[in-house]
Amino acid sequence: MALNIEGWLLAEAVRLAEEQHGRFTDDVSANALARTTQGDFADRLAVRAGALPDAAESRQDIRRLRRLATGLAAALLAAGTVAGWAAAQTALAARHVDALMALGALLGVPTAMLLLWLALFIGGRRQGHQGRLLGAVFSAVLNWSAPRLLRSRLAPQLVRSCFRLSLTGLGRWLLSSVSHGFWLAYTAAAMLAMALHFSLVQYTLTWGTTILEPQTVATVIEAIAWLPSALNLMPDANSDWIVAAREGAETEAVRAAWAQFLLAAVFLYGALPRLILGVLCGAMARYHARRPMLDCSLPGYLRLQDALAVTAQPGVDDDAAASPPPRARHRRAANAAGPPLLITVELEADVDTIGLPEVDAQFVGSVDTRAARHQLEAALGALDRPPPGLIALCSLLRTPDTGTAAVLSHMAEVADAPLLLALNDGARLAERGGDTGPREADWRRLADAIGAECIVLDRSDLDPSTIASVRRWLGDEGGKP
Amino acid sequence: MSLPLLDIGVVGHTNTGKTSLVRTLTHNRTFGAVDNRGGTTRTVSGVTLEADGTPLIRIYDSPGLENAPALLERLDRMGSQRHDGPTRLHRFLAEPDSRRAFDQEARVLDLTLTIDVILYVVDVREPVLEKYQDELTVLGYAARPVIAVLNFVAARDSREAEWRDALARVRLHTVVAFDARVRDFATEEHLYAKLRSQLDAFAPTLDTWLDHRREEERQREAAALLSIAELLVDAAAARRLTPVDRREQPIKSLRELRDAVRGREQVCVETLLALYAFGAEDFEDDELPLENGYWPDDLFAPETLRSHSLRTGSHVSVGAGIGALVDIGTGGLSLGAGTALGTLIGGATGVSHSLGPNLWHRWRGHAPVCVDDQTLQALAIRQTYLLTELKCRGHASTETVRGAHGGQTPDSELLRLLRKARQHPQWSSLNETFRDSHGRAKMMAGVTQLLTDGQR
Repeated sequence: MALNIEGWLLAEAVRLAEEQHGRFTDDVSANALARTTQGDFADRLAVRAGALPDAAESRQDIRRLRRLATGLAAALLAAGTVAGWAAAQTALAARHVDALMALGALLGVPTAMLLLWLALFIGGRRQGHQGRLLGAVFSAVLNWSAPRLLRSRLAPQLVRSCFRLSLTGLGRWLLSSVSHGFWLAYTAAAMLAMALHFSLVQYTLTWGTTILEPQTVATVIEAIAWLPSALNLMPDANSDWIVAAREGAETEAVRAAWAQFLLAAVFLYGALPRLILGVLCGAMARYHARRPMLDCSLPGYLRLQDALAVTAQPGVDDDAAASPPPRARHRRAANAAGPPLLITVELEADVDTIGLPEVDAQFVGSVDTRAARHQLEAALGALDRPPPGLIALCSLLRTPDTGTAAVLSHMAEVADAPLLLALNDGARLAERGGDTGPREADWRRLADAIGAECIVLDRSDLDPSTIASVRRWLGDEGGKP
Repeated sequence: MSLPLLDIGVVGHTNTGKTSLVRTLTHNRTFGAVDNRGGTTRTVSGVTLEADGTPLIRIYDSPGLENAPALLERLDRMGSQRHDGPTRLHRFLAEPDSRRAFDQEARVLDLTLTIDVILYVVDVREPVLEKYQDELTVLGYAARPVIAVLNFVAARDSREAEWRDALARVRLHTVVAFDARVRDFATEEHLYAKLRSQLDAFAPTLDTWLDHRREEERQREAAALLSIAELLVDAAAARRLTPVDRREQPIKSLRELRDAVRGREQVCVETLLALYAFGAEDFEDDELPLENGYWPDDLFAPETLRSHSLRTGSHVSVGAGIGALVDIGTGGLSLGAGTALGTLIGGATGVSHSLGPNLWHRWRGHAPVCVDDQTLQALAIRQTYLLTELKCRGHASTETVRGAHGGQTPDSELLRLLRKARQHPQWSSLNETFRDSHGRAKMMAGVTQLLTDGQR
């Protein structure tokens, strides 16, 4: 979808309101709708703004603003027409008219304003000076009329949006075309008034100079008249009718030539450039209006990037396997004898410190490597009688996994003995910033899955009750410690 | 020319931070589930990274490998195709009981056979165990480039050197240190550079993505600084009226002002958090202190007069200019009356605009109270601190960012600029007289520039 001026103004108003007061709390469905929109981020922003609860009222306000802007432009054109007519009336008020002064009076202000516009267009385009003066006029009128005219909750922000629109390329072209329209109306009305006066009234058109050489002024007149005469808008500029007007020896033909000179000069140097520029600016405004650009890098828009992002989720599988059910505990064999056996699982402690004090357990090896596992498996399988218990000293620093579970379960089966997981290193896990509670729970779940018992012990500060519970487990047919 | 879509698989042992890495790379804190427990991710899920609507990269998160030793033994027992890893994996996956016995591992192997590159995530706080080496061997059968991503390198008990040595021993030299809890664009760039070095065919894709990311980072920071600048200008120009006879105890006005500024600060905080894809729960701060106001009511103070004369001067010049045009239009017949009248009208308009409201309030017995320098300074420090924190916060981080509490150097140039803004109540969106204007935009650009310089 293409963003239009109405969408642009609404999106800007929403942005300005959210930057001022925070994000709308009721934007969930608007965001969802925006995410389904085909198009880029700017399109999604426009859709979101249009789907917010206040959008309908705001749109009505935008229509009011559009009518106000159209009315204002029409008023400016009317004012230009009146000003042009009045300027021509003033210049031709007396029957004896100084032609050069009249030309200056009619073309002076429009030419000065045209040069100013060109200077701002060329020099100030990057700074956004183009159309700034007229923009200020529009802004002042809007600020005055908005509280009287607009009714939606976003009314103040809509006024600000209009101001911001005047700073964009589209706004500048629009304001420029209105400005050229004003001066076109001015010069057209002046030409019409002059044509009317020259048709109905006989004027004495002269020129003169006090301090300049007459020839210099005549050269200037010839220069001004060159283009109109080249375009056949007036007779050839020759020294005869120029000198005749100077000496007051003018004939009807000379008077008509001077009248044509004035009309053609106002048309060529006043109306025509404005007509061309007006059409050009209008065409440019129309071009920009087809796709007004939202500045999506502004904080109010950029913050919505994640909320409006279309999240593609490729190749998702969602049939996760269920956790294995708890398994029955290993029972102690009837012919069990000897000390309980101790194995270690991925501990970081030195081998000398391995062992469970005050529990007479015999260390038989670790399960950390393939070779160690095979060695341990061989040792357990070679026992004459099963041990009363197999204690696996595990570290809470390790995350329990199915591999560890399978190995421990297999060792308990080979040893034909009940299995006890003694969890160590809780203090070190806490030092690392880890949460011991969930980790213990994970190990207990693993113990349940392989039919083992589980206790937590801190070897740096062994609790006597823990030792007692281990002893109880060893003497209690492999029941709960 | 369409760019090839790069598929990246993030694999590793259980609970090494795979999902955290995906979150940090995608800047999406809602992707998957992150918990300090094993088996949090049980399925393969993916996310597509797009630049200007063009999909460039797909990143897949995977369940953790949990039983690589048994899997490796099983694969080795299969005997044939010793030098054809992918065929061996296909055969294994086709066997009826393989998915039952190795559910998570089978999902990972399925993934590795369809992607372009493997990111193997290592928790470097762990010792180098044989089971991890088995995982690398199994992944090697997929015949895809593998890049080791060392997570938690900033931890006190990191064994980074030990891991680098171990990885080198299995001929894995493409290693990147990437702490998923920390968001550092330079590290992200480094990771993509490593990927580029491994994947010639995807170089244009990765270049495009990196360009996009750089622009995204620049835009994000610029937007954040603009947001802070807007807050500061709003706060500096904010004012409330209080009766002159209660100036010693302007409790109500100050409370109103404080509430307005706090509300505005909250909006700025929300904006910064949203810009960096975080939520309100990620930040916690004390309320902004505003005990004393600033009283700008001395109409004849040098700063006030300078501001008024500048504004009046600009009105005078506009009036004189319009008058001069009228004089030109009359061909000099008006004898300069237009210029003189324009000057007078411009001057009168300027004075009434700049001094009028103040004189009117004074006449009615009210004086304005503004936000004092100390509070403006505190606002600037709090917001720039938050921005600095957010810029390096990983999307897998679960700790809350705490607000700044002192320690920062006051920026005198920033305060000087904000004192100027104080003279323009129409620049603050917290005042009823608020108007957008070129002057406000210029002030905001100046404050943004100073904040940008400060960030550098």
